[in-house]
Amino acid sequence: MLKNIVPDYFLEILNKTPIDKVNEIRLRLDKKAVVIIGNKSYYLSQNGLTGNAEKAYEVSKDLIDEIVKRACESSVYAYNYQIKNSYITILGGIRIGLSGEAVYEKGTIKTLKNINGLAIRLPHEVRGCSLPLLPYLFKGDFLNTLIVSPPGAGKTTMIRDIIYQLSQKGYCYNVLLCDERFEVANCFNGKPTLDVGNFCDTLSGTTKGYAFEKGIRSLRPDIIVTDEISTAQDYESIMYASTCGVNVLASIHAKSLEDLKSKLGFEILLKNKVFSRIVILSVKDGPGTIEAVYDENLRFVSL
Amino acid sequence: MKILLIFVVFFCCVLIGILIKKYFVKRQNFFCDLHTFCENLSSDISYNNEKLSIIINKNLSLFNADINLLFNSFNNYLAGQITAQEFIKSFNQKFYYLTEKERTEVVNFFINLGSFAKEEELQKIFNFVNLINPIKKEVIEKNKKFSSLYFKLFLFLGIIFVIIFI
Repeated sequence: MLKNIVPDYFLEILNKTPIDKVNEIRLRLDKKAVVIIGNKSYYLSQNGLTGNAEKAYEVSKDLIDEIVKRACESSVYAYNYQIKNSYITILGGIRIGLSGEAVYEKGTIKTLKNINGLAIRLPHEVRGCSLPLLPYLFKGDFLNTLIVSPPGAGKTTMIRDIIYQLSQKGYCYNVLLCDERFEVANCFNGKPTLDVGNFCDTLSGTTKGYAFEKGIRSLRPDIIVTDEISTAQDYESIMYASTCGVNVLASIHAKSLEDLKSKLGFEILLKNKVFSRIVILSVKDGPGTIEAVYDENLRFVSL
Repeated sequence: MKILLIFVVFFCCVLIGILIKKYFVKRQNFFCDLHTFCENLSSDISYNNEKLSIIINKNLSLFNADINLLFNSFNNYLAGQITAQEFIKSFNQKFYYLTEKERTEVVNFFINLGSFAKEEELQKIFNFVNLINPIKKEVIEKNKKFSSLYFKLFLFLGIIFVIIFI
């Protein structure tokens, strides 16, 4: 999938790295190209990975513009919603984070221009990564579960595998996936390109509010799944789902339980004990390391 | 031998007349088709937010063969099969009946298509349409006035030549 967005001269350089292990490629204008494998950063040189900044490849404006144009399939206007939200997701679930200058009109952001940095995140489908966790997510029925981790620790991969395993293990739950940024199922022309099993309906590119409200009414899900809840509206949507008798699987950025407790607005979900399982992930032994599982009273559930 | 030469000259006159007529007709077809394409493009971007490659493919069956050459070449450029320089070179070769300025404007328009946010993209298309509108009017008028006239003129010259020398 990288060869669709990266020009040949840069692809040649990337192919000299262990690309199947790369989690992220960081390109900043006029700075050295950086590659992240696990939780370690390396400079990218003409001969592959290096620790020497002097030998590293310097990122040009042409490279950034070319990648953005290719990622948008030469139709930047068609990706404006994503661009103004500072990302582009392409086929294969590759998410490109964008930095640049915001353009405002009448108080709302219209677009990003003069893009000067790209964070290209490469997804890795890790089949079975949720299997050690699955037994803890059931008590008869599926429990409302929150996956907690810092960025890059495997939340999305874990969620994707949970949805997949639910269908493989014979749990015939109707799953509604709210894939706001096309990262979990990565639908292309309506078809998921990353496997989310046989019982999953996907609403892509939509807000959580819309997916929760309309999706629950029209698709009768047993479980509703969403990635990266962060705003008061997201928390309200979760509350709404839990009062509709629909179970929830969600993820959130936080380093630890303490970090989670201090998140502004999140206390409503903690106070109402919406989540019966809170799973903490880290990168300690690689992304997706399960550190701990807590119950609705924030008591440790032994693994 | 003399008769053969006379008829060769006659056919050359007719051929020149046809070629001149074709020149005017090609120019008219090109600018009319380009104008219609820009309207379709603007509409598809505004209402459907369609990607360029899809819009181009939709338009392939709607126009004359000449402009389809442009669309096919542009599609190859979008797909990364040819570079911008190759696209420009191929365009300049195929569309010899456009002036250098016209070719530059058209090529620049296509090369920059898809590079902007929606509003700017629509504004660029609007500006381009305003640029080609007067050219379109001019070529329609010239085709109406001169294409048949030149054909008839050269046909007449051919006939006169035959009459005089036969």
